[in-house]
Amino acid sequence: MKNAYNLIRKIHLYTAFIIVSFIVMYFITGFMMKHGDWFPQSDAKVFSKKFDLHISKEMNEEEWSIYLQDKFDIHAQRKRSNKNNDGTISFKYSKPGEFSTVTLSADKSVATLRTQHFSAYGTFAGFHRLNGYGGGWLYDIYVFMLDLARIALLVFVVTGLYLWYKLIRKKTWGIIILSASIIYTLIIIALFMNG
Amino acid sequence: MRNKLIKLHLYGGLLCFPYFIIFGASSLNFNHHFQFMQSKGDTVKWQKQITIPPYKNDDQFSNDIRDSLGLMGWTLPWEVKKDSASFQFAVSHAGKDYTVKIHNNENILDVYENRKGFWSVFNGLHPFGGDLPNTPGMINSWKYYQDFTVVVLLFSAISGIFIFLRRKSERKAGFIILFSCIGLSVLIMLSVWL
Repeated sequence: MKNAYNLIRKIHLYTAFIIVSFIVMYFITGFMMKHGDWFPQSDAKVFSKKFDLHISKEMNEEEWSIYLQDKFDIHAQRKRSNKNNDGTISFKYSKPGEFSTVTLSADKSVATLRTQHFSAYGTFAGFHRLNGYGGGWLYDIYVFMLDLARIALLVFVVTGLYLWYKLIRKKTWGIIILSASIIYTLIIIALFMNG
Repeated sequence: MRNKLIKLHLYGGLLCFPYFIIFGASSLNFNHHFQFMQSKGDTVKWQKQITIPPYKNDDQFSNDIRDSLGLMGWTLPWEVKKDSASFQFAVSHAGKDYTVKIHNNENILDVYENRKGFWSVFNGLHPFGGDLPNTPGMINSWKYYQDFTVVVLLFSAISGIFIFLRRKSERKAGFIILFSCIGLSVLIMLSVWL
């Protein structure tokens, strides 16, 4: 029993140590997004450039996305591309504080790069919202760390519950607090479902 | 002192228990779109008679009708569809979507109510920041609870380190892991940003 307690305590402790920066970052950026009006905000600065391309090789959209990213030296996560009604294709790249779109002409001879630079608020929101795998190895590592932080949060809850149960002899206050928080949340959920 | 800190650490966690579950699970869903959390919900149609308010602009008109119908939620400006004979708009919140149709300025409105189900509400509570029109005050109290969880999380992180510091046997290994991981995490964040 003592061994089980020590194991759970170590899981709780070392999970926190490993992922604390990402969890704190995720909560703080979420708080900043929620209270956006507390922080200075300005419109994104937009830059556009046109480039002539001379490519004879056939490429699929994924290859085009990687090629254009390299060509324009875009250090950002590759997002999904869009085929537009006029035959052009938009390739999107995102990172905290910056969003780039490269629009490739229908005959694939001209690419237009449009980059938006966001304020500090937009940068923090970018950290919070960066999601999805397959956009480049660096971003995959970041998204993986975020996933770990989310799983760690669930691990804290379960292991923390166990530690409270084992550590505190008089459980009345703990049961009252836990019940109150669960009942409060269930009432909110019920109000949303029926409202 | 240490015992009080442990109690505060534990009780703070118990108080935030549901939000941590919601926050962790819903953000995993945002990234992975779990099948069991995806639901289109059920739609029911009902009608209600109201006095049509005067038209000023699309937003105001939609909001006035929503208030007359007593619907909870935000009107969605991009969902307005109108022609010479009809006006349609949508109202939405984490639990329900409404599509409201007005025909020829008649007093009887068609309302299509989509009940999105438990998981939609569950995931919606993660970003829900309050100030939802026509809601009971209790729903809007969620925003204060959210802010409280941020305070508790920061407190838990700091107090957790203090509690750990008391154990001399694990101190060195713990600090090596803690500072290595903080350094690596900050490096990853900076690399993504710069």
